This record gives sequence, C-alpha cells and structure tokens, in this order.
Amino acid sequence: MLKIKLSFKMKTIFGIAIIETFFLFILVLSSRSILYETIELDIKDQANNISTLLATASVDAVVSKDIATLDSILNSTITTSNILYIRILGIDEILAEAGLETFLNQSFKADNSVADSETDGAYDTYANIMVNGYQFGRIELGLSIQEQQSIIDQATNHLSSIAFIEMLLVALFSLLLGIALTKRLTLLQEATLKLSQGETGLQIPIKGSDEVSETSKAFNLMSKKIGQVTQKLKSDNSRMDTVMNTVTDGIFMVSTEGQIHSMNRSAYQLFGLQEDSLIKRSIFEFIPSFNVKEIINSEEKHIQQVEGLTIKGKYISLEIHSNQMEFDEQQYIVGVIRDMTMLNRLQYELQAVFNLSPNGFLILANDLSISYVNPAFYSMFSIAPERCKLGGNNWQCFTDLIHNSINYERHNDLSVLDELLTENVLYLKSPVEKVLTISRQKIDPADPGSSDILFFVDITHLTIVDKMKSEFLTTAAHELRTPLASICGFSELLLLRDYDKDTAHEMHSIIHRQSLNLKHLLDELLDLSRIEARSGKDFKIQMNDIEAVVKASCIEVEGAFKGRKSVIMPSVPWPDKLAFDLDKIRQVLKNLLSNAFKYSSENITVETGLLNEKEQTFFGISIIDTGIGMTPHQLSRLGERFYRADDSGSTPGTGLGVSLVNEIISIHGGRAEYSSEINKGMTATFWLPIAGHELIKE
Amino acid sequence: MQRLFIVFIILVFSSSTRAAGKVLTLGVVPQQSASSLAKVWLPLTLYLSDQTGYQIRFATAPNIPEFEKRVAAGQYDITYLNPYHYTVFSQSIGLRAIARQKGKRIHGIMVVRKDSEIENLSMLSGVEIAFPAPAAFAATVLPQAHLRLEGVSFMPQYVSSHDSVYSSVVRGVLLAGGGIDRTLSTFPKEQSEQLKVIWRSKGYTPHAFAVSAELSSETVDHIQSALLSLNDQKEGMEILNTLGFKSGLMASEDSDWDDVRALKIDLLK
Repeated sequence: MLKIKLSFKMKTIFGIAIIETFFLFILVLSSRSILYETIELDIKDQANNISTLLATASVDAVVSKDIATLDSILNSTITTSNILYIRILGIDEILAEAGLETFLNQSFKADNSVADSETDGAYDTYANIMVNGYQFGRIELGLSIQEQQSIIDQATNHLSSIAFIEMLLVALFSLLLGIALTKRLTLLQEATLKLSQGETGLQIPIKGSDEVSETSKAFNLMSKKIGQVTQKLKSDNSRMDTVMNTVTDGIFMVSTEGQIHSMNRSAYQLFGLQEDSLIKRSIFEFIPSFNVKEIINSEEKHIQQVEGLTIKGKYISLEIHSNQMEFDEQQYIVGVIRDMTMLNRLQYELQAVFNLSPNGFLILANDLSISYVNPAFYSMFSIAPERCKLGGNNWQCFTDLIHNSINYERHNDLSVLDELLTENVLYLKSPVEKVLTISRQKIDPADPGSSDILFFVDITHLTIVDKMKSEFLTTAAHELRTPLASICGFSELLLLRDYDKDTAHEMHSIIHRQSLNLKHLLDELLDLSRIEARSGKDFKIQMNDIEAVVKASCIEVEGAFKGRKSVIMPSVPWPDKLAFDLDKIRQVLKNLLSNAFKYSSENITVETGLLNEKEQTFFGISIIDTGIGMTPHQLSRLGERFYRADDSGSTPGTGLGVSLVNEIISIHGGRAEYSSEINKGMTATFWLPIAGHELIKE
Repeated sequence: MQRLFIVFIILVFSSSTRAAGKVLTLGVVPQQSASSLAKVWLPLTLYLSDQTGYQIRFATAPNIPEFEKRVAAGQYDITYLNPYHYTVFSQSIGLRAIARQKGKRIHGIMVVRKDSEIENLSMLSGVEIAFPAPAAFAATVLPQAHLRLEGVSFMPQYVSSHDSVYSSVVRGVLLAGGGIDRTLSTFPKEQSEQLKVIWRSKGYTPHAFAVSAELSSETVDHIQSALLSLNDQKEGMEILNTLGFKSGLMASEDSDWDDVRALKIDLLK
C-alpha cells in the first residue's frame, strides 16, 4: 500500500479541506434539494390546480362533448400561463387540445416528480373528469419547468461559488495557522529529538500564551527535571558501579536464555575476561552446567555448586546463589558467584590432616549431635564407621559404643559423658589397653554457640616408656648396689682391724674384683646409653676383614677361659671385606663369646652363614654352645636391660651385654637372633648386610 | 408505460360493464346541465349495461340544437327524447319507441312572477317569453303551439335550461317563461315561491325511449326487456325514482305519440 508522508501542516489543510468539502457538498446538495422540493411542490400544486380547475370547468362540456366550449376554455387558459399544452380527452377520443406541437405529438406520460420532466422540460400531469365516480374523460397538460430549472441552476451556482470561496479562505487560514503552529512545533520536535539523544538542560523560548506555549513551558519543566534526574542517576550509577566493582564476590545478570547482560569486575576477572568482551556472550561459555531452568522453576534463592571454565581453559569450582528477577518487563537471572577453589582446597587439606592424624577428632554440636569423626577416632575405639550415622541425634549411638571400650576398673562411677566432656584421661580396655587424653575446645572461641571439637591423643606408648624408665632405674640401682655392698663391707672390715696377710689379700682381691665389676657395669651402661642417644652417629663403619676380627676375638676370649677352645667352622666362605665398625663388632663378638663360655663347660663352635631377605644378602656369624641353655620364658626376656637368666650371682655379668649387642647390630642394619633349649645349649647369631655401603662413612 | 396506461384506462372504463360486448350509446336530451344529467342517468346506464351485456354509454349534447343534430346524424343507439323530437326523428331516421313512463302525461306550464299582472296566455302578446330551447317539448313546443293556436304573438328568448327560465322570470329579466311541473318543483323553493303558473297544457304522451332503426330486433328486445325489468325490482325502482319515473316504465309503440303528431308542429323543418 502506498503510504504518503504528510506533514502536520498538510494533514491539517487536507483534513479541513476534506471536512469542508464534505459538509459544503452536503450543504449545497441539501439546499438544492430543499429548493428543488419547494419548486417541485409548487409545480405540482400549480399543475394540480390547473388540471383540477380545468377538469371541473370542462366537465359539462366533456359530458356533452361541447367541443366549441372546450376549445374556448383551452385557448383562454393556454395564453395566460406557462402551460405548454393541454389535451382534453373523452372516453374514446381527443375532444380538444392546444399548445406546442412538439408536446402534442408526443404520447402522454404523467410525471411523478420534477426530475421526470427534466427530459422534455415539461411537467406532465392529468386530472380525470368524473361524474358520480364515473369517468367521462380527462385533462392532460404539461407545465413548463424552464423557469424553475433556471432558478435551481442559479441557486446551485450561487451556493457552489460561496462554498468554493469559503473553502479557499478556510484553506488559506489553515495554511497560515499550520505554518504558525508547526514552526513552534518543529522547535519543540527538534528539542525533543535532542533530549532523546541524551542532551539535557534544553530550554525553548516561550512566546505568547496559547496551548503551544503551555506545551513548551511543560517541555522546559520536563527537560529540567530530566536533567536533574539524569544527574542523580549518573551519580547513583557511578556509586553503584563502585560498590559492584569493589565487592569480592562476582555479580552477574543474564537473560533467561543465558545471554550476559552485565557482570561486575570480580565476575569477569574470575573468568579471565575483559569488560568489553562480555557483550553478546553466553554464560554457558563460562559455566557450561549452569542450570537456568531450575532457577526459573524455584521460587526462592537458588544455590548451585558448579564448575566454571576460565578463558584459558582452567576449571574453577564455583558456588552460585541466584534468583529470577524482572527488569523493564523482562525476566533476568541475577546471581552471586563465589570462587570455591581455595575453600575446597583448604577443606581437602584439612580433611587429609584429619584423616592422617593419629589423634582422634570429633565435632560435637551443642545439641549433642556428632557431625564429624576422623578415621583415627574410629580405630581408637574400634568402631566401624557405618555403625553410627553422622549428624542428627547420634550421641547415644556413639556413647554406647565407646562405653564398651572403657576400662571401668580405672573409672569408678564415672559416666562416659562426664569423661568425654571433661578434659581428662580415659582408659580403654578393648580392643587393647590404651590411655587417651581428651581435650575440648570451641571451634570458634568467640562464639559460645559454636560446636566443640574433641581431641583424643593416644598416650599409651608414653606411659609404657615412663614405666620402663622407672623399672630400669630400680634395676640399675640394685645392680650397682650389689658390688658396692661387697666393696663397702670388706673395706670396712679392713679398716676396723688388722688381718693376716693372706686374709687381707683375699679381701683386697674381692674389693678389686667388685670394683672392676662396677666399672664394667658402668662402662656398658654408658656405652648403651651413648649408642642409644647417638643412634650410631659416632660409629666408624669401614670395610674390614671380618674373618680376622672373628679369629682375633676368639683367641682373646679363649685366654680368659683357660683350657677351653672356640672352634671356627665356616659353612660359607668368609667375605673379603665387610662394612662394620671394628671396635663395636669386636665388642659384639666379645660379649657373645664370653656368654657362650660362661654358660657352658665345653668348647664352643663359631659358624658362618648367608641369608637372602628382602632383596638383601646378609652374612651371619653364629656362636653355638652346649651349655645350660634357656627356658622359652627366659629366652623371651633376653635383651631386656639388667635381665639375667641366672640371677644367683654365681656367674659374673651385668645383664646389659645382649642389649648392647642388639643395639649395635641394629645400627649396622642387621639383626641378632637367639635360639635355645634348656640344658642343651644356646645359639646366638648376628647378621650383617653384605651390601652395606650406604653405612660406610668415607 | 404509455401502453400500460392505455390498458389501465380501458380496464377502468370497462369495469362498469360486465361484458365487453357491443358499445351502444344512450343519448339523453339535454334538459339540464350535462353533469347534472349524467348524475341522474348514470345508474340507469349501468343497469342497462348490466342487464343486456352491452356496453352502454351515457351521452348528451351541450344544447338542444346540437342534440337534434346528433340525433339526426344517428349518433345514438338508444335515445331518450321528447315527444316532439320523437315524432320528427321517427319519421326522418326511423327511430322506434320502445318504452315510456308509465301512466305519465306531459304537461307544459307558463310561469310568471307571483306579483305579475299576467294571468293567461292571451295577456302575453308582444311579451318576451323565456324558453329553455326551441325544441324543448313541454316547456317550449307545447306553450308555443298553444300560443300560436290562440294567435298570441310573442318574442321567444331561449335561455338554455329550465332553471334559467325560472331564474330569468324570478329576477324579472323576462316576464314569463315556459316550463314543466317537475322542473319547477325541483327549483329552489325560496325562488319557486316567487312564481305562479298561469297556464297548464293538457296531457301528452311523455318522452320516449327510442332505438335506432339499425339495431336488430333481438338487441331491441333485450334493451326493452331490460328497461321494463326496472319495474319489477326494488333496485330498478330506485333508479327510476332518481330519474323521476316514480310510476315505472311501460312498453310503448310508435302510435302512442300520435297525439303529439296531431299538434302538427313543424319546428325543425
């Protein structure tokens, strides 16, 4: 369809012209029609009157066919008026006629209106000549309508001319008015356009006091208000921007299709984006599993744990709190993004610490529900994790299970609850005897309502060591006291009186021997403690000839036990060199060989052997005697400090030799083994690693 | 349209006559104005048409001379005419009388103003006397015949109608006038009271219903029986009353008007 663009001015002119034309046309037509009707009525009246008059006047003449009378009536009538023709008819024939030939020659047709008569210019009418309802004839006549027609035409012309002039004047006035109006309206339009383009503070000059001026005033007021509001909006916006860009959490707004509308700095920096690269991007590029549908369906704030993808392809763990909102009649999703990567890592680390800790942890809420228990706790109390659920009302479940483990011989009348909630020591009897300390602390010390963390430390080992130390001191004191008692006793006797030479010598010998024993005991104790304390740090492990060392040691020890022999019977060849501390292995050999001689009366045998264990080869030296041997109980206690199978005192010894051997061999990375049968003898073997290079100190 | 109109006219005209048969014209002597005459004669015309099946049309003439001309020209098939005319036209064109008013005898009268000194015909010598028309039988022919018989010379003034005669006398335009009892009695009373009758003729056979010689005897019989049938019906009697034939009609023949012929009137020759 063709669309014509018309200015307001032209629209006004055309509009007025159309209305004017329409109404003037109606006015002219209706005036003409009224005039026409008046004239028509007049003509009809005239024609009726004449025809009726004629019919009445000529009735006798018609009935009696008095042609002469009729002629005379016609002639006198026709000359005095605008009658074009008259015809008087009898029943069958024309009785008389007069007028213009042209009309007389036409066949008669009565006109109902003036319009019918316009074709021939004559209004044709008739009147019947009746006597007592019986028709004797009729009058037909035609009236000239020329004069009436010319009146109508003239009136129409006059009306049309007036209408035309009126239209011209109105058009001219509308044009002038239009120009005057649109000039100011154009000004208003231009100002509105500028306003819409963002220009503020515009003012239009006011002229006059008509409607346009009022509109202009209203515009000026509006423009001023818009300026103020815009200024306020700008400052509000900048404040809001500052706030948005300062918060550490990411804030975003997307359409329900996921199109990014806006993001604050934290949000786009999180994804490694620039602010200007956000436009027309989809949130799904950065959060592929972002569930928009769920947010739309949920009525309240929605929280999602999702994985985000930075522009560099790095995955980040996110928590998104989002909500659906309406702005400008459009649905949006507004959300807060929190980077959970660090938090998650911390959580995992903490989890690992808790999982690996040998100490038990338990988190207890104020309502006595246990929300967390670490694996160490489960193993301390030997509780299967599936026995009690975490969270909720689970206190009874846990305390029932703990109850089974408690050693009630140590806890008289103490409820488990009291024990747990008080910092204390807890004794367990099953699955094994244990001693635990319990510490309790608020997770957030500042918040008294926060949960408690209960901390269980296994101090069983410490307790045992403590006990061992006490026992050791008691034994050591006892062992030291025995030789000292002899020394003190005999020296006192010698001081009190004079003995004969032999007796005095004997007594001096005992004092000397016991002093040597005491010195030996203290040497070994010192050695042991030094080795233990230093953990072999002062060992001089070097490649040495083990065969030579063994043989020299055998000869050395044989000297102390006269008449007795140590028979070396190597079942495997001696290695060329072996890494060991010469002095320490000499001590080992000396201790083991003297024990073998001491607790047997026969010769002893020295054998060699090889052992492959855990991809390592060990060279072993066994010292075998056929002496009194040991009971299994005695054998199990062998190696304990100051333990002596024969505690009669008849056999000299400190009870520290085997401990010392075990310690030295252990530091060499080897192992000492003992086997025995009562009254049949004893075999002591020590194994040294062949590839012991790592222990060699260059 | 024009044709349609003609058809319409024909239908209107023919609606009064049940059978669109032969058209017959009933010519009536113009004793009154044509319209007045038509008024009183139309019921009879329609009745006859109805009875005979012919299309019978009423006709008259503007005046007696014209009537005479038309009768002489044979324009009417049925003619109601005065005794004198009958005697003339029965002879000239062979009109045949078929009926007349029953028991009626026609009288001529002579009227003067009541205050007039004239008291008989002989006193009218040299006087202008009003007559309706030269051939008006009772009002003109009979008085003039008697005036001539008595040897009274007078000056006739023909004033077209009986009413004109009475009016002229009442107003004193003319001193005397010829008329008949019936028309005088229907003349407005306040005027007729100013008149007096000074002479009345003997009774003559009245006006005749005569038929043209050209009509067949069958047609004539139809017409005559239709006319006479008026006597037998109430409706017929009403029609006759309108015409003033209160006694009804009776069949007549030519010799019934011999009394008129005996007057030897020779006006139209």
